[in-house]
Amino acid sequence: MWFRLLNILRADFIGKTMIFLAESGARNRTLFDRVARVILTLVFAVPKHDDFMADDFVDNDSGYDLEELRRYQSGK
Amino acid sequence: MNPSTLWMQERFRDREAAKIPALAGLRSREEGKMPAPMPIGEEALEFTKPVIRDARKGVVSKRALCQTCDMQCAVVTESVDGQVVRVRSSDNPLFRDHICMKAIVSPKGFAHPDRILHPLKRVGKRGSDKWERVTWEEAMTDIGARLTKIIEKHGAESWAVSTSPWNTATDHGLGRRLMNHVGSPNWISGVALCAGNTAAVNRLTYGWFPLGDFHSTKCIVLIGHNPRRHSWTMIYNYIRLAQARGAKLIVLDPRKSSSAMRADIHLPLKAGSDAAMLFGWLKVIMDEELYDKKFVGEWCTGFEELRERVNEFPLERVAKLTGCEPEMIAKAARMYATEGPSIIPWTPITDMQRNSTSGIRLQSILRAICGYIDVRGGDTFQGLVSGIVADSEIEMHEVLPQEQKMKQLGNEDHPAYTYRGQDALREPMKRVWGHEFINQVVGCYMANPPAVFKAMAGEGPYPVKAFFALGNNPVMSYSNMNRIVKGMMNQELIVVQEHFMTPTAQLADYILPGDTWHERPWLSDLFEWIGFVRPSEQSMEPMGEAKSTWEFWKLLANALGKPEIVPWNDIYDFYDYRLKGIGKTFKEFCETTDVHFEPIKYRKYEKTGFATPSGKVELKSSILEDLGFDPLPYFREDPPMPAEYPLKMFTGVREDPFFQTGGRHIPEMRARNPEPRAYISAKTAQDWSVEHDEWVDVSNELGSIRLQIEIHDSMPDDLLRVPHGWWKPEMERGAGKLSGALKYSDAQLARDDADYLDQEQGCPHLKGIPCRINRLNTKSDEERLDENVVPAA
Repeated sequence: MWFRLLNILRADFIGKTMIFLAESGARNRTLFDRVARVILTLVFAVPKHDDFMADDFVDNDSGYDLEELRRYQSGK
Repeated sequence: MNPSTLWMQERFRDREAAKIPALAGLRSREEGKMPAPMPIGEEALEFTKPVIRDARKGVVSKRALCQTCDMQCAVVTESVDGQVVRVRSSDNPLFRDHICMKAIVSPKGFAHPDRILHPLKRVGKRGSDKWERVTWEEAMTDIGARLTKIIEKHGAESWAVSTSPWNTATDHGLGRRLMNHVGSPNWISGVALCAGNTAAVNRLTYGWFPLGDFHSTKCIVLIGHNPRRHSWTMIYNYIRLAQARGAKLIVLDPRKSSSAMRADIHLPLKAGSDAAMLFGWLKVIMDEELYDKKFVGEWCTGFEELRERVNEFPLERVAKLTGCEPEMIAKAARMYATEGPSIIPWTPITDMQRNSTSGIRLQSILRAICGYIDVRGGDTFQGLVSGIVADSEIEMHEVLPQEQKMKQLGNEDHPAYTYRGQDALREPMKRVWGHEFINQVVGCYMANPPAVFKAMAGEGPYPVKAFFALGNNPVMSYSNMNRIVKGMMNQELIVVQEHFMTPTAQLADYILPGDTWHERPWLSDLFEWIGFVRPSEQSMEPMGEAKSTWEFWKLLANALGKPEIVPWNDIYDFYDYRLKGIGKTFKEFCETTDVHFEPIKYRKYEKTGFATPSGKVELKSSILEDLGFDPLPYFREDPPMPAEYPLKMFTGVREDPFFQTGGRHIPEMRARNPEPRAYISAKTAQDWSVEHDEWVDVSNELGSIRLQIEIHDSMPDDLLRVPHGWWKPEMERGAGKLSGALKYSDAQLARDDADYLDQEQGCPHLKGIPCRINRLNTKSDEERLDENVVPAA
């Protein structure tokens, strides 16, 4: 009983804190607002292994160097 | 309890755990990383305008559609000094992140030193690999004269064409148009066993090939299909997004595929038993009355007859046929019927089975009786895009005389996707969709490929003596490769349009250089399947003397003395004609539009009825009945396993770095998959006394191919996975070698005898072919090294 109540209070506290941080972060005017944004970003950041669209081959691609491509094309 | 049962139960228990990636997905969406909805609903209208971020100095950016595979992902090309050096994903939130490794390496793939950049004419014996460079004019004049002579001698039907709609994107039905005017019905394509046949068979039941509404669905059923980050990327993203917002995923796959690992229910059915499994689902849904009674009562015909057929499949029988536990089959059926609206997206797996027509029809029937047809979150009917001239209209099937239509090869034995099979849909199509010859996924008026190759080899009702292969590689793309090669060697004229010296090109009389998707403009209507139209800008000038397929058909029409058949000056003029109905030129369309669509309207059938002869969903198909087939779905069991071939294999698998038979010349891609590898379980490896990385021969009655063994956790016991489309461009060319195709190509094991063909369509059974593994005891290491050369990265 007491354990469940504590859990409810804990969830309530976390929820209210997140809403407070979200409001503050959305304002983005003061230093504290910016800190709130950083906290929110960290909390909601998707770990790379959970981000189904993250992919090194795609994310690190910067294209080909033209000269290198032309050398390749001419068989050098 | 067997391991597969444990696996299923584990997955089912892990539904809570499956919510973790969903949470991650929602977080990601919060950060603005997720793409927006599919472009079908009103909520996507805000994304129709072009979006492109500022290019770097000296870089020219263009919005294009990747045509490496059939997904047509929207991308941005970046060019320096007139050459594409980078391909990245679209800046439009609607299409963002729809990009895979194949698009990224395309600048290098198209700049390969061995790319064919000039017309080549064979000068030695066929297959001798001796060529001389000629001009386009010389080539087309000779091709026109020789084709005319063949048609005069053998009839117009002696000319056959094989193509694929992505490599030859600018075909736009011009090939069919010219063939229809000349009088040949013998057009074939790989879509005969991949999506095109699905479209034709879906239409038998409810008059359209529907698209799943991934954006709003609550349950997705993947039948053997395994979209991944680098394969069917757009579908993969849609599925992950749907799961992220809580949609259920049911996977039917013998393998523990990556999709199966994420599924709410995984049914590890036996390869090739899709139709039996779906009968089991229907049994549960009918017995427990989980279907939409109102829809069935008002809009379906043949329900009681279907019920009788379904009663032949009690769950115990289905369990025996599929190898899955009855309880799990029932759970999956209940989930599909009660957690909806659900979708069964198109799967190439059911397309390639002995019971393909019944399997596809059972999918259609499930969609219909559960009330998931043309509703939000269900399988939707898009229709043609109004105001834009469709490829089907360009094709002009109405000019081909009925007598010639009835000469289409294969239409007597396997008519489902031929003119004969689709003939009864002409009036309903006109009534509901406004055009009598809508050729969805270009798969609704095809000749049967095995019948065409028999005729080419001199074993048909009449000879085929001229064969054109545009942007595809027919030698390796259909069943019974040895007969295809025999047919090719028996031709008087073979013309190929290609980028590289493929095994098919090696047997040609002429090889004409094809352009790439970097080098051409394009207007995509997604095969008249998915109701949106998108432009693709030309990013660079064609290399060498490469030309588009559109130009090829125009030149051929001129060479045949029929220039009036292609009256447009150039492709821009052609696109202006097609877009006239929406009041824009192609240039204006590119400048103003990323995607053009009309928000979908649901339950259109309430006004128009369905595009079937009865106007209703035909659970019992009047068309199949009139064609002399069983009008209800059925299940044809496997013939007895031959004692000498006790192992089953499935083929048709695409590997991430390649698409079909293409891409093996690109060093970065080959480095990822340097060799053709056969996947088997550890137990199967032990049974056959083979080891990981060992080279073996896999053989059956048709032939033998060489593969490297990979012991893979995803594989069930007693099943071998054979990769599709392997040849090695660096190996010796010409007849008898074909750059390794005769050594590695899975098409050599794909059977086309009656037991291994679907009856109604004649598509080959590629999911469960008897075979065996032979160890290589006589090969020296030196010879093996010589064979397995990998190009330097």
